[in-house]
Amino acid sequence: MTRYLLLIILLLPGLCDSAAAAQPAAADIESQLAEAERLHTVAQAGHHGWIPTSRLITEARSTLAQGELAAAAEIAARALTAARASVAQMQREQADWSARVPGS
Amino acid sequence: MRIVLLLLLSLVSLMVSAGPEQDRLAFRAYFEQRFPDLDINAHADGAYALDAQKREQWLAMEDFPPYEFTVDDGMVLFQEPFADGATYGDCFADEGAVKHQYPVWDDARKMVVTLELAINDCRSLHGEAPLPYGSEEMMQLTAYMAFVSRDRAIAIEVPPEAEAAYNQGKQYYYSRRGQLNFACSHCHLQMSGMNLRAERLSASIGQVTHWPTYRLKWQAVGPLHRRYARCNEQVGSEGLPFQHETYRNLEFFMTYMSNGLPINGPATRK
Repeated sequence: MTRYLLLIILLLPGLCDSAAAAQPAAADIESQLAEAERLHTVAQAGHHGWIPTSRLITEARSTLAQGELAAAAEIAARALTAARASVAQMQREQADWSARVPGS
Repeated sequence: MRIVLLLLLSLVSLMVSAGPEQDRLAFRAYFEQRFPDLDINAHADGAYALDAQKREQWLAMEDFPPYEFTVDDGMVLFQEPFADGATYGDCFADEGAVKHQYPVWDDARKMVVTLELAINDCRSLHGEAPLPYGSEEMMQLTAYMAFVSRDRAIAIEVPPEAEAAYNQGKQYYYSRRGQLNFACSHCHLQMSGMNLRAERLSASIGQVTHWPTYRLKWQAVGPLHRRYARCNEQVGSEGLPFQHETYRNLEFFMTYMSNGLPINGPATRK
């Protein structure tokens, strides 16, 4: 019994450290959101802005403000994915659209 | 070998730079082939040309059309003198029966002018403040002007100077957009006549003939650009404000594709 207790006491600081390391930093989330916003602006300029992108950015910011870092990081990652996909769509469509014209 | 390659390249460049009239003929032919039993002009009725049961319900609704008062109010507004004594009749020929001639290319301003813009130009010319594009008054005026233009065949022109605007509208129409990755053409060209959930997808040809339209979803008469914005939203794409240059160019392209079809606005839609 004493041996088990000793083991737990020895492992506890390590467990706490790894839990802290898994928690995303607010600064990283902010930088992801800044990149998502930048890409969203690029997509908007080409009329390819996606509705979910701005919704996810707003949601991530509000979650971050509430201090829920893990959830905010997840939403920010989704926002960045959506923003990247919208820009990729815009770039791809610069050429692909003409294949849909009847008679082309 | 080099000559064959050169010929092939010329052919490809010709196909890519097809002019508006070649586009229109190919567009029309596409729908003639897709719906061989339907007169092309019937597409002015949108989805109701493609679904007999819904057409019957729609025709019953037309006995007491919900846009009737809007047209009546529009007639009053059209005839009402401005502060300087002029009326809209001084700006628009044929008592306003000019819907089939819009949009037009304004070479002085290097832009596409829709009927809404022309109405506000008329107001400015006579010292009146412009109307907001989605306003009730604007809907009344455009509904009245569409009504008196009924049965007139759409006849707009794309002069060489307007081709850049036309091509921008064309590119917008055929480009995938939004999270659902759909182009206008996916629903209203490639899948026209098919069902999307419980709705029959109308053909693009004829989609511009009946605006403004009373939509049951809106419980009001609304403009074509409101429908564009809603279409954008439905595929997860951010829409644009009414009368944005891109929407005007899209309307220009779509209207040219429907050249020859009769105006039958205003109309009622779900």
